[in-house]
Amino acid sequence: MRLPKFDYRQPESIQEACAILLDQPDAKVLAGGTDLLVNMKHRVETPSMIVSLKGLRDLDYVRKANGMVRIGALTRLKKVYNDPFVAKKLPALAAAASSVGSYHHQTMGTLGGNLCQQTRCKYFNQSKWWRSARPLCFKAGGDPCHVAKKDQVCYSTYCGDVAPALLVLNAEVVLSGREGSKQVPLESIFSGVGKTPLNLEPGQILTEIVIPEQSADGFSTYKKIANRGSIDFPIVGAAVWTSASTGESRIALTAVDRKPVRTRQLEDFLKGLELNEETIQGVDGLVAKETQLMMSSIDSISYKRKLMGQLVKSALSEAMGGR
Amino acid sequence: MEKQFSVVGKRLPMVDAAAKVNGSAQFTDDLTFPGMLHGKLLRSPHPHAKILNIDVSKALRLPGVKGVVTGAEIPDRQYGIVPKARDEYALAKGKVRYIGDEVAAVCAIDPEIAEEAVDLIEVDYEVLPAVFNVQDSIKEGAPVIHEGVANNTSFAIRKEFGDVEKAFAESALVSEDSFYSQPVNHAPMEPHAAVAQYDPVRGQVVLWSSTQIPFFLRRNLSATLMIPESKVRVIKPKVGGGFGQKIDMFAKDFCAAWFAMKLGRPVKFVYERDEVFIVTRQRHPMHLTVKTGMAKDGRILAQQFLSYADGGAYNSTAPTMMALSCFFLMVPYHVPNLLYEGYHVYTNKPVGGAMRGHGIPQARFAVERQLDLMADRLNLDPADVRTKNSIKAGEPHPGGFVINTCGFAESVQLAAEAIGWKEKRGKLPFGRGVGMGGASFPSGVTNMSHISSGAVVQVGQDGGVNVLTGAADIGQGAETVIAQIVAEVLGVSLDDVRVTAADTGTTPLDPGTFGSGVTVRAGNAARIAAESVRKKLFECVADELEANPDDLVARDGVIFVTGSPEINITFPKALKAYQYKDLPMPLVGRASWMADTNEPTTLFTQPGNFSPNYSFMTQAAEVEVDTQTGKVKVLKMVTAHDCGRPINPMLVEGQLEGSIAGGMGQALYEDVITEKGQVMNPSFLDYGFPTTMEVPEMESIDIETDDPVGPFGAKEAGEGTQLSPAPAIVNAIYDAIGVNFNELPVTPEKILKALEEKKKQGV
Ligand SMILES: Cc1cc2nc3c(=O)[nH]c(=O)nc-3n(C[C@H](O)[C@H](O)[C@H](O)COP(=O)(O)OP(=O)(O)OC[C@H]3O[C@@H](n4cnc5c(N)ncnc54)[C@H](O)[C@@H]3O)c2cc1C
Ligand code: SF4
Repeated sequence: MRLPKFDYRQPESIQEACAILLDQPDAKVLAGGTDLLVNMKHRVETPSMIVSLKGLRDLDYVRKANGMVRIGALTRLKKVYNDPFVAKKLPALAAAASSVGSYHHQTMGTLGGNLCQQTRCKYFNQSKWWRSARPLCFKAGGDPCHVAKKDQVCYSTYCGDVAPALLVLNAEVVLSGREGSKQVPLESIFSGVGKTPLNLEPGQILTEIVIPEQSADGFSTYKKIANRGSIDFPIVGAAVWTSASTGESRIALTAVDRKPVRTRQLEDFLKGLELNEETIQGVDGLVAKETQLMMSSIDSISYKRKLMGQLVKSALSEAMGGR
Repeated sequence: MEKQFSVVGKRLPMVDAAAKVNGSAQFTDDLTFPGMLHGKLLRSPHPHAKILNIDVSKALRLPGVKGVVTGAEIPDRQYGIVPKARDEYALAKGKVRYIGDEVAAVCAIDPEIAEEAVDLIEVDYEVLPAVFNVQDSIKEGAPVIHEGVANNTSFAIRKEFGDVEKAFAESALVSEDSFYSQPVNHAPMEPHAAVAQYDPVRGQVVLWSSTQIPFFLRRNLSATLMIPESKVRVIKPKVGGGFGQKIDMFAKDFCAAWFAMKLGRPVKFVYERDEVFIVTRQRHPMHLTVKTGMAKDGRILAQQFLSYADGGAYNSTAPTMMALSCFFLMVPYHVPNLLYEGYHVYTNKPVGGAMRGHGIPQARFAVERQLDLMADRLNLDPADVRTKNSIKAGEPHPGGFVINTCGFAESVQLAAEAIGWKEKRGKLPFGRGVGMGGASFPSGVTNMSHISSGAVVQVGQDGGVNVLTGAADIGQGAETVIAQIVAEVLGVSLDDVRVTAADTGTTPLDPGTFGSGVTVRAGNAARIAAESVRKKLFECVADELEANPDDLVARDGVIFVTGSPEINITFPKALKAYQYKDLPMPLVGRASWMADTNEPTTLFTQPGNFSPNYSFMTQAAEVEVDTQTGKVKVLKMVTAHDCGRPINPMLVEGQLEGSIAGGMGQALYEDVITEKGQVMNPSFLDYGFPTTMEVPEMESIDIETDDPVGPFGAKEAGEGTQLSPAPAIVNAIYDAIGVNFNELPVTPEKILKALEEKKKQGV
């Protein structure tokens, strides 16, 4: 498959990049390209211009300052999980980053690109010819949704591995625009709208991921079930962070909804409860309630639902052991 | 004692291994020619529709487009690998029968423009009702997929011997069980490609194609282009895997040649990965009901089969596939009474074709599963049941097969020992289990037209040996094996032998790579050709060595007198002597080889032999089922294998390992999922076949039998081992969790469901 035609720009500064993006509303940012280029070949994304972030060399770092771990958006996943602090103190992040796709995706894919990746759907991630056998779906520019069997909705699924890990680590992200930058909770950038899954304003790019060092104090893990060991998006992925000192826990899931999901009711349920076999068994029903599973992948809803419960329970059991 | 062989039986790297590793090996897509154009196909978006009108004017007006062709313009000549089952046009005429059917082809100065032009072709369709499964397709009043084919059943077979009913009446246990095998894609690494060039002066088309069957392709091209075979030259560059998927001609072959002839410029077609999944071939989904009568001690007294293969939109190899599926129920077990009825049914889905095992994996899965079910019902050890029923070499075979060598019973015992059967079967903790499956496969076929191979061996003045063979190496190492055979006969090293292969313009006739006949058939041709060269050399040096030519041996670069190795002459000196005697150079030997032709051409109505020889194997698996996620991990797979004498054990192991991954795919991972005829997972990512990370510890045990027909005693090692891994794994799952799965693939979801059911029932 070939890429469609596009103009290519490689700005030298964030400001310049933002300016180009503002100027060209249908331009797309290119980081590692492992998500974007595939979608372009499938013609589900056809930006008239690609704005490569390759020139922004100073967005590639993992550093600690003032009680925060700061990671540049262009840092490759491999560099993220190989960082000694991340590897040792933020195991959920290390596990998530090292579980993305195959080794090749980890050496090419960036942390920012991973968070900002497109949602997925079995009717969407297909070639143009394949899709021509059905009316163009809503996300791809038509009206119907083949998953929901109605018009003007999209239930494509967010399948990124790293977002749930960063969510339970209470990460924030820095969004930069022409007017400057602001730091917002990571969770706020996910819209939950299948067609436009990110809440980024025109001209905005994600430049930095910020993790409070306190998150290193708790227990954290990311668990993923995928078809194969060598490559594959999660069928379900779950991140769990717990603190022995405060009794708090944070849980987030991926591949179960249009965005990565923090399961707040479940967290509330677990609050103050002692983590033991019994409390853990209670999680099944709650987890399912907080997600909206749809048949957007070839894995069935019931299977995903079963796995979700299993994953959270096994992560919590590990947390118990970890204390 | 003199050693037996120097090159044969050695673990030698493939002759083209280095070129493949350093990237210099040329595959079809690596070829470029000045002025080359690029083609692309427009495919049907409907599973079943009439083509009312095709408007190509917009496409033709796009700058850079050099040609467009539709089904209306091509000759009314259908093609297909089996002459009596031809039902396909390179481009659909009047009607499309599945999503992906070729409607038109475009040719442009670059692939991008070709792709753009395809989108500009406007087709008016009248959508027709479609059928997506066998049950619906054979119903009265079902949509007719091919005119004149009643009940959409394009092929029906029946074979019977003995008295099944009587034997059932005498059986201690008669069981009837139903099985289903899913569609599986071959997924070769190299997508299908073709480049064509036309020489208008000689009127000759040259086609480079990623094919397994250059000579059949030549015939199909000649028939469909309506030009003589002598004007078609098919060259096979390196091929990155076929597994049967490259046995057919495809639209890319025809259209490349068509455009090259019309436009006088070279034209290339390369399929996308989703095209490989959707529009080439797949293993036939098959429903199979097996009724078996067994004596109390586990002896099979009779078997009755009813099978329905879902062929998709076209026949491809249907008659052959059905025949193999039937005939190979007669080995490796002794079935004294047999009745087989099988039907090949059209549906509006991707097309079934030859795939590693070719109809037999589905049948084998059913039988090997049922043997375990019945052993359980009779409280017998499945391993014992297998040995007890093994056919034996030299004994009369109920179907008329001639079995000269058979290591099957031994393979059951050795596989059982290696997996730890006695200690493990039924004794491992819940979630862990062992299972086995047995199989047998032909090394090509006897007595069928054109199933014959030629070879030319030529020795140059410098001692270099050149072999011309039509055998199609598609990555399995056919050229290496042939070179080893020639090197052994001439007593030279593998490095001295160069193989020129698979060019219908220069190399001798060969049917190509299918039916696992290459080593035996093309290998024998090469052996005899080399022997005739050696004979000339021996006759020339016999005087000098004061010996009878019949007493000479060629080995390790030296010709010596048997029993007196000190009386010798080196190979280069022998060559010199040959020249000084003014004998004509180059030294050339040629041969053709075909299996015994005294057998009947069809075994449907009479008994007879099928193949020059038969391989036998047992594979035993140990698995671990994760009861939380339903995932099955194959921990170990043992293969005890009788492939005669392996010419190159390393290549045989490569085949075994590949078959284990393939069998795991069939058992656990792979399924071409369709929704209303549309393939939902046409990519490496979504199709999800197992990768290196999933592959278990593998042990192979070689049971050497010295087959009288195969070259140096060799038998096939290509397809047979693809038959037994899947049933071995599924049988092991039963041992692990006590659930019998009779439908493939056994997905984690099915496992979880079954475990829940089990819990509910409180067992
Ligand atoms: C075969 C395959 C398997 C995969 N498996 C997985 C998997 O298991 N888990 C997983 O999480 N992902 C997987 N991916 C998706 C992808 O490879 C990874 O998510 C990767 O991390 C994306 O990073 P990238 O830098 O390559 O993103 P890009 O492709 O460059 O960008 C992705 C998207 O984010 C936007 N973007 C990129 N950077 C920024 C930024 N700084 N600010 C704003 N927008 C931005 C782009 O415009 C684009 O829309 C897989 C992809 C493939 C092809
Ligand atoms: S969920 Fe519906 S709208 Fe969204 S991508 Fe899938 S088919 Fe299209």
